[in-house]
Amino acid sequence: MNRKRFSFIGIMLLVFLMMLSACGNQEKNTVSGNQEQTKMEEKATRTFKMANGKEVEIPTHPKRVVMPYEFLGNALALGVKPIAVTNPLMKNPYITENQMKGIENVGNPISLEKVTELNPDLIIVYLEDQYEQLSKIAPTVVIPFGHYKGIQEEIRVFGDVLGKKEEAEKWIKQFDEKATAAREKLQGVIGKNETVGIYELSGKDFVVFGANFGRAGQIIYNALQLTPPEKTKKEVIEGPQQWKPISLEALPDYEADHMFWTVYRTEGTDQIEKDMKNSAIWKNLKAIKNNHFYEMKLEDVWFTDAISLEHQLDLVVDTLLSHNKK
Amino acid sequence: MNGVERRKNVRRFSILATFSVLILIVFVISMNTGFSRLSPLEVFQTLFGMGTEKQELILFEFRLPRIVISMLVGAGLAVSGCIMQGISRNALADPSILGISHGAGVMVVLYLSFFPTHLDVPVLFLPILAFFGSSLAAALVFGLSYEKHEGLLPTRLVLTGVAVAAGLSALMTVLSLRLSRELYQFVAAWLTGSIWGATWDYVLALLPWIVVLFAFVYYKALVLDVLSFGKNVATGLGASVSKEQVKLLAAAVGLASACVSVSGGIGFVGLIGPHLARRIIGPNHKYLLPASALAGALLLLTADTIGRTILQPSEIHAGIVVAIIGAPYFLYLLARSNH
Repeated sequence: MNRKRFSFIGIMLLVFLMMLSACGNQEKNTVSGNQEQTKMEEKATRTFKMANGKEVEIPTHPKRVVMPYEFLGNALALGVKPIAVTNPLMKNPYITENQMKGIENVGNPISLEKVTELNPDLIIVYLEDQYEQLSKIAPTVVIPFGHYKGIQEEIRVFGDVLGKKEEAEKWIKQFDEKATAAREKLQGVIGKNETVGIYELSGKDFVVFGANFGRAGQIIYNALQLTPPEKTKKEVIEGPQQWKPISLEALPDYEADHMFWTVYRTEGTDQIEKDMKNSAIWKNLKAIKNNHFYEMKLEDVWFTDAISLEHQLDLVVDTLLSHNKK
Repeated sequence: MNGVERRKNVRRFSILATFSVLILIVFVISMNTGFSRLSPLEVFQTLFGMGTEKQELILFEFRLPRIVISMLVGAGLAVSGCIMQGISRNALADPSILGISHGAGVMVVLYLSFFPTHLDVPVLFLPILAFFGSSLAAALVFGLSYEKHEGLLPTRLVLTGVAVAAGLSALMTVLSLRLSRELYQFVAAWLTGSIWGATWDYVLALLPWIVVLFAFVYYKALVLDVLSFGKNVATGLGASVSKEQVKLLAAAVGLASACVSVSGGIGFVGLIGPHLARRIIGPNHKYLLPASALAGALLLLTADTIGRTILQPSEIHAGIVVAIIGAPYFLYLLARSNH
């Protein structure tokens, strides 16, 4: 009697285990089945050479892209909507709620589990700290931040990676045309001999910016081809990095006829700003005396993606025109 | 007499067993929690090779290495703290107080500020740099608190440690002002102690250090007991004090810098782990060392699991969770010792 019951339980257990393993196998089969299917659709993957010299196999036409929020405008400008972006440090004012609809947030650092759940076919990062782990989920490409000379070069790389080369060329053409038109607008308003500088009170430091580290540097120096102060040109634009912390005392050395200004507020910034504006150094700056001082909202000039730069082009031109009516 | 000793031993072993069981429980919970909600059954299936590819990836490549690293780092830091507390006879001694984690941090920031390209943030290179930096800091602290005729001066050790730590962290702040914001964010996260980069490579890099150094220290448990009586008594008992101190402290630094290089600056574990263990199991290092290791592992594993799951998809760094739990406990200890 007892033995019978025992063997019954044994058989039930065995059946249960078999069902379990069958379930497991089935799931596995469907997954690999799906993968084969998608592979068939795309047909070809291709090799992409990253800025660090390493090569990766990526899909020719990626459909499910996870990327940094800071680059989102580049993808949108090429007509690609990623499935997820990283958690933003700051919201991009030029990207609408509607454009953000349906785009997931994968946190920062990136939540590996969430990315896995999202089934991406391409991941883009700008730092390498999670590269190894992310590339186990899907092909991962490093596109360093501010590495390429300007937006034209950067958008070409995005066009290449996202399989949108034509769209990239189209975007560059229209942007260059827009820039030419903008330069014409400024002709006779800002002369070639007038210098334009970009500065920020960043926490407690003064920073001078060059042509490729946000703050509309790409617009001011590349697209509008305005003249930087000599020292800025030598030390920052042609220097090893596109920004340089200086002291308030050194500010006159980097002085320009026109000053673009932003403030990155942390604790103590307000006091420093107040002291600075009361200082003789500040009051004696040409730009201050001539009212050629333009304070910009940080988020308006923070981003360097294609969509943001288009807006910043208008913003900079409008700012210069409205302050320099002749 | 024998009976008392036996009863004590039974108690000690049951304490160690309880710690182990608690770790096992948290381990199972940690395996089951995360962004993807896997049921215990699914975890079980996957462990036996019957899960989907995705489940395997999440469990074996993302969760498991991280869990293992948290336990190893927790154990390593706690043992390191335990040694330092034993030798310096100062309950405040701990790797993060002696400036060892700061040494590692300065090295990393220094590297990034001289090679500020975004291209090659050297993920696998960081631990080596960190190790180099923490050893330098340790050598500085030890050198300054070593007197030729008296050996290592425990009180001076802690004081120099605090001073060196303060100096190094000021240096770090100055250096990190020169970093770009993206890199700064990366460095800051690394410094507050986060285990997100955990891969099996790190486990393999860390494991030998922990195993070898722990074995060595455990073998020296009796010496630690003697040393914690103080220099005079220890000399009287026949120990060659300064030699043993240096050997054991070197082991403690090795443990701490190996851990810090993988996890960044996680404070408090090295302080609270041994404290907790001593409170429960007593000052006998033969039991205190393993108990500290287990307490540290439990503490950090719990902290990382909480930090990993509470704010998804974002994370709270394990170091911060430990500090949130640790600070009140530490204040409680202080308040109690005042009475």
